[in-house]
Amino acid sequence: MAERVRRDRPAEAVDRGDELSLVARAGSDADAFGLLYERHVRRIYNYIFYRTGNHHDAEDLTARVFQRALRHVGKFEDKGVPFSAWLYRIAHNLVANWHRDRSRRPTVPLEDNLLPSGGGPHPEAVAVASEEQRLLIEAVRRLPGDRQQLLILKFVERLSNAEIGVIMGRTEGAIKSLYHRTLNTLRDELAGEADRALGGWEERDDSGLADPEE
Amino acid sequence: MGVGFGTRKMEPSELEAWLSRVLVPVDPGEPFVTRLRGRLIELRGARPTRGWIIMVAVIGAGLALAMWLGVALRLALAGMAFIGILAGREQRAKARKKA
Repeated sequence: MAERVRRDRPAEAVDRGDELSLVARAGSDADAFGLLYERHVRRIYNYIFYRTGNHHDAEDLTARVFQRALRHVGKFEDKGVPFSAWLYRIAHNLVANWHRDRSRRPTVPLEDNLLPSGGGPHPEAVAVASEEQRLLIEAVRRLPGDRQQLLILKFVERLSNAEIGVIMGRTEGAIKSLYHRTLNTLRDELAGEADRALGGWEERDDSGLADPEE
Repeated sequence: MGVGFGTRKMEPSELEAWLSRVLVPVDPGEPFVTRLRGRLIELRGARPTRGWIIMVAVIGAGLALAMWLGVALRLALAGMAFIGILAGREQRAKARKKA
C-alpha cells in the first residue's frame, strides 16, 4: 500500500556529467542501470500515482516505464535535457495510453486510502479532510495531461519553473503562464463543484421531508 | 478548507496552499521497489549483451558472404566450363574443315 510521505527536501541535485556517464554505461552494465533506477523510481511512481489515482496501476505502469527504459536506454541521446525528462516522457505516454484504454473499457476503481490509518485525529475530521483531498485530486485529474504533469512536478517534486520547463520542453515563461491558467481553471472547477454540492442540498430541502424539530 | 460550502472562488494563494498540503510525495514501498529491481535485472540478464549481438551479427554476415562467394564461384566455374565446351567444339569443327 502506498504511504503518503511528507518530505521537505528540494529535488536531488544530480551531477549531469555523472548521470550521462551512467546512462552511457546502462545499456550494457546492469549496475549502472540499477543506479539510474534507484534515483528515479520514486519520482516516476509519484507522477503515475497522481495521474492514475491508485497504487495498483501506478506499480504496473512504473514497471512498464522502466522495462521500456531498459530496452531503449542504449538509444538515449544527450540533447541537453536530463535523463529524468526522458523517463517522464515515457511515463506520460504510457499514462495517456492507459487513459485511452480505460475509456474503452470502463472500470470501477478501488478507493485508495489517501490518509494514513491508525490513531490520530477524530474520525469525522479525517473523513472530512479525506473527502476534501478526494475532491481536489479528482479536480486535478480532470485537467489535461500536461497541466496535471505541471502540478505534480511543482508540488510533489518541488521543481522550479525552469526545471519543469526543461522536462516538459517549454520555456520558463511558458510554464509560468500555463501554471496561472491551470490555477484559474482549478478555481473555476472547484467553485463549480461547490455550486453542484449546494444545489444538491437545496434539492433535498425541497423534497418534502418533515423537519423533526417542527 | 470549506470547499463544499458557498460559491466563493478560492484565492490563488489558498488553492496553492491546499495543493501543497494534498500533493505530497507518496512512498511506493520498499517491497515493490526491490521486486521491480530484481525483475529488471533478470530481464537484463536474459538479453544477450551488445558485444555478443555484434559478434553473432559479424559471424552471420561472414557466413552469408562465404555462401554467396561459394555460389558465385560455382557459377563462374560453370560459365568458364561452358565457354571451354563451346571453344572445343569450334576447334574440332575447324580441324574437320581442314581435313
